[in-house]
This record gives sequence, structure tokens and C-alpha cells, in this order.
Amino acid sequence: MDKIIYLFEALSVANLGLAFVGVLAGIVIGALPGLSATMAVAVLVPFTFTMNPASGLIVLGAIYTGAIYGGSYSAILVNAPGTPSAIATTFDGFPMAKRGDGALAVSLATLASVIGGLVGALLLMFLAPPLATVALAFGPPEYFWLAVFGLTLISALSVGNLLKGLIGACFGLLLSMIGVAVIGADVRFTFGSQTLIGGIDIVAGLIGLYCIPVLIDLVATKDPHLKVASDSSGFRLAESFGILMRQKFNALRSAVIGTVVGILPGAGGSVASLVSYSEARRSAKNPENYGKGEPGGIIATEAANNATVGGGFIPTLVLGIPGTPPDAVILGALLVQGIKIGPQLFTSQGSIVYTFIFGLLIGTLLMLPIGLVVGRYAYKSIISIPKAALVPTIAFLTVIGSFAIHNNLHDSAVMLGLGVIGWFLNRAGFTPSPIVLGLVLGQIAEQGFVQAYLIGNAQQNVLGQFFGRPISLAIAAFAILTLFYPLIAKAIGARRARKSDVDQTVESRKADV
Amino acid sequence: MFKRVHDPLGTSVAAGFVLLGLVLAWTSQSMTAMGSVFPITISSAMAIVGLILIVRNIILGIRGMTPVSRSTGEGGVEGGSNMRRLLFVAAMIAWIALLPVLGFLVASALAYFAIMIVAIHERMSVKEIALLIVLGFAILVGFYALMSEILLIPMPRGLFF
Repeated sequence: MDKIIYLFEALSVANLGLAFVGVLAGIVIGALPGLSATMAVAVLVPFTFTMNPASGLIVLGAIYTGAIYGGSYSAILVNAPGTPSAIATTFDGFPMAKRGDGALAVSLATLASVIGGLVGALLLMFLAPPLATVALAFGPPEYFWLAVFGLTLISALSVGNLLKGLIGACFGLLLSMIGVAVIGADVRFTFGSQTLIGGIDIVAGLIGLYCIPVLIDLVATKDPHLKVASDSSGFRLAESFGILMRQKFNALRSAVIGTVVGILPGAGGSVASLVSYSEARRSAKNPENYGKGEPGGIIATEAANNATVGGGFIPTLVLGIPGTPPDAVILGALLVQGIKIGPQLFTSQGSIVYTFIFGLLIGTLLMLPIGLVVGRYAYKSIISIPKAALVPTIAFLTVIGSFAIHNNLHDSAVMLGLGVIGWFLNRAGFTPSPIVLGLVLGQIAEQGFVQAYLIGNAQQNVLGQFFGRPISLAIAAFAILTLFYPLIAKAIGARRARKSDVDQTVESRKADV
Repeated sequence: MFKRVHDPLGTSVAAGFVLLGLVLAWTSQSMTAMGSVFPITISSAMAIVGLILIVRNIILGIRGMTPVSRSTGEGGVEGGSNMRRLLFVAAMIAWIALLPVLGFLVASALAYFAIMIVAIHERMSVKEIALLIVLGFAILVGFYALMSEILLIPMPRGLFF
């Protein structure tokens, strides 16, 4: 009950205004195909540096949640997911729009997103504080293993290419070492350059890696001339609500899946929505309708991807390990603000955390009216913004944003350089997320590693430090399991395939008989 | 020989990473024990994983496996004009280089409209062009005012402003 005071803080006119603007900006960026939620947060993060930390977090949370939701419009109305987390929304959303139920699909997506967002934010409110108490028992080896776990997870998710993901993660870790070492104070990997002595600023690196490659590709191709499926049947809110009530288990299950996937380091909305979609189809009474315009599909994906927002904040705020890629950007922003992330945050700076969580809840609720109105009246104008206006504006935001971090043009140069490198690497199949996670987790991983090594050395038991503590061992086991999961999954798949081959043979023989 | 390697671009980039890993591991040896333990571990790991990737791709190439087509949008957009990509990057470099020389607003206006031209693919009516220019100036001046007057960030000043 003592937390209620923070609700009133979150309800201040300034914070409400920021949540409103954040959700709106997020929805607009998210609705544009090609621009992801991560990019929305990365491009707008520097504007929050001058705000107080709670308000900055509220606006970032609102942008994030708005962008994830905004991706559903394009998925439903033009069959082009606005953000990667809305890929599964196209499966049923577009068929619904084609048969004239576009407005119904948008209203369903809005309601599901709000429910998903609320579940994620509430779980953040109730799960994070007890987890923070557990995390107080973490020492350097645990933080090292957590960072390793995050890196292996994101590598395993690198679109079927674990090795490239691992190389990317190592590259990101090496990027984080540029400059003066935290322990030992060596000047590392600067190659004599004055610019690099201060190291690579995380936010500048993130803006570069996530925004510049997208811009380079946007400029190379024509405007897509997307045809919006027209629908003049109104909001159909009551009908959507009825469908949602029938699908309440699906919505809640998907929201919980989304939160859990969000909690796992590095995995975000795109993974959550695909997992919950396949789970919804598997457990549905009418699985054959999925992919042909089944409302349950939209509810599953949209509830799940918005739940990752709250879920992702749990490890971000409790451990300083980003749950999803946009959280990596937000974490960088918090570091710039000088907030010490970690389990103590909840006790020492509770006012910031709880004001933010209430702000996130309010932002999610605001999404309902804003989302419905934008989806109905403004979507067509958003999607017809030409690249000739979009590309220079985002480019301007990346330059001004990376400059504003420390009022230093070196950061802008680093941003652009990393962005161009990121474009080349992405071309060769090395995706940006493992690199970014390496960059963000580098310091945590190194500090944990070196401190554990020093303590172990002093106790003359280095291996015991890394492998002799139960929590460490459990996290290490998860990391190893994740690393080999693709192989294990393949083996299980092969066994199932063999089994089903056998079943088929048996059945065909039965048929012969 | 290279044609027979599975995913030639990925393999050559991996070779670059192996080389980078070896160079960084070697340069790290001159650091203090505390400062060098992590860089040496990670750069060696990068070189080793890179080598594994190269060997795997060579074996897959010998077996005649071709890379699977990408359908998730990962790897960026295929095709399109590389000249425009180059011009965009050049405009960005010029933008950042000219900011301290010309001042924030002037350099940004030049680069903004240069990038706008690079991004135009189709013929536009005079009305559309006029709208884009007005919009561009509004965005530039609006954000300049936001940054310098409201957020009080000292903007680079050069010859102009």
C-alpha cells in the first residue's frame, strides 16, 4: 500500500503528458514497416537525458510499448509487419483485413496489447522486488555467469546461426573493452586514437548499430506504395471484447509466455509472439483456422509481444542485464543518467522504480484510446510518409542524438562508424543484437570475471569461485543448455521424425491389411 | 576454390574475425595481468569460433550444400541501389565532419536536403517538393530549438550557427 504514493507521482500532469507523447511517437514509428521498436527507443533516447530519471523511464517505456503495438497496424492492414515482433500478427491479421474485418482485427490487437502490457507490467511490479532480494546474494561469479547466459541465449536465437551469433557476441565484448580498463586501468585497443580512449559510448553504439543499417537499406529502394485494406465498419469494440472474453485463457497464457520470454536475457517480442502463436494454435479447438484469419492468432501474438515490455524490465532493473533489445538501449540511458542498476535499486531508489512501473501501467492504458483513434484515422497518413522525408529526419535524429549524450561529436563519429560496420556484418549474416548485447554486458562480464578470479586467487581456489557456488552452477548449466539447445532440439526433432516415419509405415501397413 | 565454400561472404568475414582475434590477443599480452585476462580470453574465443565456422562452411561446401534463402528480413534488404547507399554514407560523414566547421544548423540543413535528394526515387510534383522542403526546415529548426533552448545543450557553432 505504501507504493500508492508513487501512483500519484506517475499521475502528475508532466508524466501523463510524457506517457501520452511517448505512446503516440512509439505507435507512429512502430507502424512504419522497417522501423523497429528498438530503433524507436534508440533514436529518441537522448531526449530523455535532461528529464528526471523516473520521467525519462516513463517516456521510454511508453515509446517501447507503443512501438510494439504500432507494429500490428501494418501487419494487419498491409501484410507488412511494422516491427519484427508483429510478424505472427500478419498470419491471421491480414486474412481478416482481406475479408473486410480489418477494423475488428485492429481493435482486437489493441485490446490484446493492452492486456499483455498490463500483465507484463503487473508481473514486473510483483516479481521484481522479491527477485531483487534474491539477487542481493549474487556475487561477482554469478554476474559473470549471468552475462554469459545472456550472450549464449542471444547467440542461440541468431536465426539458425549459433556460430555467427557467438562471434558477434565476442566482437561486442571486445568493443566494450576499448578505452581505459575498469580493473587494471590499462588503455586497451585504442590503436593510438584519442577518440577511443573514453571507450565506445553504449548509447551511441546502439544508435549506430540499430539505426544506420536500416537507413542505408531504406535509401536504396523505392517507396513501397502499400495498399491499405479499407474498412468502414467502425471500431467494433463490443464485438472485439466478446471475442476476447471467449479467448481469455489464450490471452492470459500468451501474456504470461510473453513476460517469461521477456525475462530471459536478450530475447524479445519477436520470439515471444512466435512461441505464443504456436502454443495458441496447438491448444486451440480449431487449429486449422489459424493462418486463415482466426482472431485467436492475433490475440496470442499481440498479448505476448506487449507483455515482453514489462517482462524485459525485470532483469534490466533487477540485475542490469537487458531482457530485450530495446531494454539494452534503456539500460544505456540509465547508465548515462547515473543510476546504479542492480538489486539495491529497489530499496535505495524505490521512488524512481515504482513511479516508472505505475507510469508504464498508465502508458499501457493510454494505448487503448490512442491506438484505436490512430489506427482508424491516422494510419493511412503515417504509412504514406515518403522516404524522402523519413530518411533524412531519422538520420538527423541519430546525429543530434549521439551528439547530445556527452555534447561531443566523437560519439556521432563512433555511431556512424559502428553503423556502417554493422551494415556490412549484417549483410554477411552477423546480426546486430549479439554485438549489442556483448557491448552492453561487456563491463558486467569483465568485472564479474576479474573480481571472481581475484577472490579465487586470494583463496587459492579459482575454479571453486567459478564452479563451486550453487547459484553460479545453475546459471552456468542454463548457459550450456542454451548453447547446445539447437543441437538437442535437432536430435529430438530427428527422433520424432523417425518415430512418425515408423507410425506412418505402421499405418500404411494397417491400411494394406 | 572459393566458389565451393558454403556462404562465401560469411566465411570471409569470419576469416577477418579470426585475424582480428589473433591480433588483439597478441597485443593484449603487453597489458597488466588484470587488464589482459579478459581480452585474451575473448579474442582467443572469437578466433576459435571463427575457425570452427570456416571449417564447417568448407565441409558444407564440399558436400555441395548451398546457403538457405533468408526470409525473415535478417541480413538487410537485398538489391536496391548501392550508389544511393554510398551517397547516403558519404552525406552522413560530411554531415558530422562539417558540424564544427559550418555550425549545427547550416551543416544539418545541407546534409538533410542532400540525403533527401538521395532518398527520392520518383518524379515529384512541385507541390510535393515544396512541402518536403518546408517540412524539412520545420523539423530542423524545431529540434534545434528543442535541443539548444529547452534542453540547453551547447550546440556546435562554426562559421555560421
